[in-house]
Amino acid sequence: MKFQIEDVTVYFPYDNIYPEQYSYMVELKRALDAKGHCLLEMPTGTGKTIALLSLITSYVLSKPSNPVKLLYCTRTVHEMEKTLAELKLLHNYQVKHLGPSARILALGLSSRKNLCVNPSVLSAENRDSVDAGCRKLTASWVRTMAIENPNIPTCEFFENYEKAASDAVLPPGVYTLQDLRAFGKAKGWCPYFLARHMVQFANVVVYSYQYLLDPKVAGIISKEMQRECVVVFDEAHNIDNVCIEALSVSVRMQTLEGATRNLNRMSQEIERLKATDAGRLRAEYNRLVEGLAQRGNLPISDTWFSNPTLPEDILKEAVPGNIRRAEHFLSVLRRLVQYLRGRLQTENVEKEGPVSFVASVNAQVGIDQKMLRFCYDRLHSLMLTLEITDTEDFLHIQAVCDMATLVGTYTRGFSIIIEPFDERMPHIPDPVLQLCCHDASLVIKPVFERFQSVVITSGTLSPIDLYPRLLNFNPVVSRSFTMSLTRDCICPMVLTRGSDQLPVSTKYELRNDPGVEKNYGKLLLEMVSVVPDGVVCFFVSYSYMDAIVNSWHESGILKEIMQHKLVFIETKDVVETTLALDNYRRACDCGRGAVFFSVARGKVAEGIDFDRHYGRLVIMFGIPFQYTLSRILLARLEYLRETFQIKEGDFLTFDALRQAAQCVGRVIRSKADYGMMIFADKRYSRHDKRSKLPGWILSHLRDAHLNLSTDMALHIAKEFLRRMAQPYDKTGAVGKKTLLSQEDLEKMVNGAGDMMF
Amino acid sequence: MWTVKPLSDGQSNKVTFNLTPEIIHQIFSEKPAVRQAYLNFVPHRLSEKDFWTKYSKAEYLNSSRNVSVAAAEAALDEELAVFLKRDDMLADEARRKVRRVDPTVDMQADEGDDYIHLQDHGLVHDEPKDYMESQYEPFRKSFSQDLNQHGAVVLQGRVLDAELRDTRSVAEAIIRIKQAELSDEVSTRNLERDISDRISRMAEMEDLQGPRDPAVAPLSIKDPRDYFDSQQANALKALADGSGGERTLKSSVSSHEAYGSLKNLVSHNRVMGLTEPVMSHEVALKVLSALTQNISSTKFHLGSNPHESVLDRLPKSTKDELLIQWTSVQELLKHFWSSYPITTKYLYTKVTRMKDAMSQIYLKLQEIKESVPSDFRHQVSLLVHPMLQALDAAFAHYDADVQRRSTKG
Repeated sequence: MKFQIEDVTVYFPYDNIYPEQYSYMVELKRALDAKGHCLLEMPTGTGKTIALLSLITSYVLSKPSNPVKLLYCTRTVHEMEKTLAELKLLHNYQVKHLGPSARILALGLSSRKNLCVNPSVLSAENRDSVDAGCRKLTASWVRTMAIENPNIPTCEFFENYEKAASDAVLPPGVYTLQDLRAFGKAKGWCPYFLARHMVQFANVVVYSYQYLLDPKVAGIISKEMQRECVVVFDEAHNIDNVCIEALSVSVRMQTLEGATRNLNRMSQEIERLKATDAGRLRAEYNRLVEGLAQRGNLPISDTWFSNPTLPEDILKEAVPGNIRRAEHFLSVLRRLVQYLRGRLQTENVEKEGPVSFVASVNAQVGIDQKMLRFCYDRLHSLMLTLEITDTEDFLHIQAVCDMATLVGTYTRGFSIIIEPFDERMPHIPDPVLQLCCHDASLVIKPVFERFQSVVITSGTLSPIDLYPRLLNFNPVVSRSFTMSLTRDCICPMVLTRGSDQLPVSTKYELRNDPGVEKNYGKLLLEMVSVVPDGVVCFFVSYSYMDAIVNSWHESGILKEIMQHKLVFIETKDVVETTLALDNYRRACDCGRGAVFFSVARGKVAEGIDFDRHYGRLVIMFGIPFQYTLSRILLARLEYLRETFQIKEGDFLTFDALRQAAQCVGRVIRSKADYGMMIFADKRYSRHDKRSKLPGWILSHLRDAHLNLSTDMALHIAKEFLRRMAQPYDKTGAVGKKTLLSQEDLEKMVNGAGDMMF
Repeated sequence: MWTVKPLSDGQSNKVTFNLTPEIIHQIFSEKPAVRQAYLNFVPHRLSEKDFWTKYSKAEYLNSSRNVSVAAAEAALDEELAVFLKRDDMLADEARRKVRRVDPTVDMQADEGDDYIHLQDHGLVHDEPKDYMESQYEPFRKSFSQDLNQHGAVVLQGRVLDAELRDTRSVAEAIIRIKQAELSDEVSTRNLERDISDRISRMAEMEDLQGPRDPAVAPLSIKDPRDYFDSQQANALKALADGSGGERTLKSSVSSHEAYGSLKNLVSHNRVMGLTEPVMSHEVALKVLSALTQNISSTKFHLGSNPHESVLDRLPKSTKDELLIQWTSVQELLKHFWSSYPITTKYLYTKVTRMKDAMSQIYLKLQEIKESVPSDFRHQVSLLVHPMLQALDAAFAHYDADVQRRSTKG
């Protein structure tokens, strides 16, 4: 369908549209017009992505004088693929209606591991070895050597791509990662480097958050993006955590040992180079005198993680004289490692800010702030000069330099915490020095400054006024949309008591109470016997899940559960969890039914959908509070209180409830879908906790469902499932319309803006 | 899984494990390393009994969750170590399988983009690290791993062409199955297309799209008899068409004319090219509906007017008898199948009783078939046929089960 929003003609690839999608587009258009940032909360399953894509592409089509580029950031690879698949649908529709002038180039970008087509590289175990394997074949010096010596292997895909030179372009169209690989295979070109090259010409780029937020990667991938970009962060409810993680480093004894090995290896290399090719070291020295900003001239295959601090002025400064010579730099690093080793030998927990830490480094080993700040770039340059290809072995020294650069750059928003042991296991010495970032706004600031519009959107951004404070920006539009439902397809419940009427909770005092464990087990057992297909359970932590599953196993409850459904469980091993999920889906597909045990804040809770029959019920056992005794968390809370005036309790509750909402929101992906959500903890019945849940859950949470015991919940579940099995009218003809056709829309717009919300 | 619980007599320090062929089969299918070890060790290095004693010992050590003891024991005994260590074959299999998983759950792909959690980067998570010295690392086993593996094996289902009693042949049979799977995996090469198809299918939002043509009519069977009737009528109709309506099309066109018209058509196509699409959707749909009209119309006729059912055309006595037999067959079959697997003596006698009753009905059905007047015989036999088939299946299952029991002793 085709309709007007003010001066923009929107092409929407479906015959009907949800009213909330329409209002979402209206708000988004306002933000684009104002060239400002916006914050939009809309429940899952209401077609956020397609609304967003339709509006932005149509906006560009309507205003050809103002070519805006779209950078769409997703959290997971499959969301990336799904977004591109939706865009493909939209693109076909637009081309059909507008002809070839509507053609655009859109592509996804991921790591080598997901794009490489060279079987010898791809066979490597993990991402880092794939990266290193690629470098071994494509680094400029390797290729130079290969010209002289044909026995040195190179990558034929990369060679073909290089040979094709400027002819190696992607014709317009929408390319998923899958399509890129297929295209690369067909042409014999390396899809990874092709994609990276085409990113600058593409109209739409879909990639992971980290390519924009993690300064290590953002520097190389995203630096060419111009200001006229609309940046979208989808599913962005956790964006502040991603930000602070991107700037945090931890150093352990193993790191320092590894770093020392790296340094030895590098000094050997330097000796060797001095004997054979001293000119190269001299050339590097001269380059450093001119400043490091020449990174842009490096061949594409040699690029490295970039400086972890984005501020532009630093990149333009010259490297301080005393670390320009390779040997001098190595000795600085040795002293730094020695200093850190000394610090790790402490008996007590220490906490300090970056300023005092830098002062103490300077006093004890004579490395000043400026030298620290340049460590990362200097190391990078040295490793290139030394032609090191097995980069995965050098992660230790990189971590040390990374930390040095961070403490040398930022004077606030960080703290350094040294813990001699984990206080839960005080008998095992495991010293760790952590540089942790508390201020998410430091990371995202360059993004807000560089791009004209940044859209932060998710199904759960409640309370919506907290995000601008956490990220320190001023949105021009900040709105939360409700969901128009044809029927009550979600059924949230708060379960406070077990079948024996005793309270259930994961509160510290009650957590290991056998009665609570048994009540939780009975709840699950009762539910699996009435709910068809998939059931998902979330626990507050891995250790709690392990403990409770073992206790269910010992008491035989698990065996009874398995008589109804197969049981699969998330583990810390990604491969195993992936397989477990795959099997879970197959069990649901074939009608056997299954239960999946997972952890709030875990990878499954973050990225996997349990829509349709893959999740008819989700049980959240307990409230997923962070471990409140963690020193990092305490330091962050203190910082938030002092800088942003956010109270500790408020932040903790907000954080726990957004995770809980995220977990239960996994079951519903479209309006035709239905699912139940059980919050199994007595604390959810308290208003201060519950009210932090997003509006679309609260509006379905009836007062009668606020204080249930197992048997009552069972009864409600049975009723609900029976009701959902009935046929229903999708357009919601009775009362409010939930599906608008083109006519409806025109009528609505002409009807003097008689909005439905 | 984990059905083997150690039993202790409470007086001595001895614990006993009971292993049945069924359990051994389970162990073999869930723990490939044990299976492999069995094939390698028995009977040359260990006797069957010793092998299982060692296995039980290892299980007992594992259940105590004391990694250091397990490691110490393993250091002394090479064969025991096989059971105590993590299963490498499983890990290999996992790596192979993970390349073929549904892309929507592929979390490994996400790791590719995660440069935040490079070694030593990112925040240390609040979970207490399970601390493990590297020498103990291979001995770490987790219960969740077993759970997942159990689920995977159950899902695969079991087709075993070997006798459960012979442990060795069971192990070999499982290996054969695994190898067959492996070659299957190699042969399915169109995996990539499969995946991209699945992604594009998921991208669409169904309820925003207008109704698709031709719309799919959902199967709604309120009364199973409707379905039964319409199928029968269909068969009859086909029969009638076959016998009575061998209508030869009378052709007035000579072969020469026919050839000429064909030639014209071909040359026309050569000049004009084929229209795109070759056949218009409407025409195709029309042909399809014309072809299937029979089915829908008979269903419509019969469904709308209950008095015109096939059954009603039969003599009243035959019809009543048929319906009675039908319900009793249904009832008997329901009881028969619900008593499997036979776990108690009571069930065993019940099954025998059911079987006897059913064989009587079987005879009766045959009688009915023979007794009806010849013009109805075919229809009746069509009606009776599914019942006989269901009964045959039940008998076959019964016989197979009896045989299995007798060989087991």
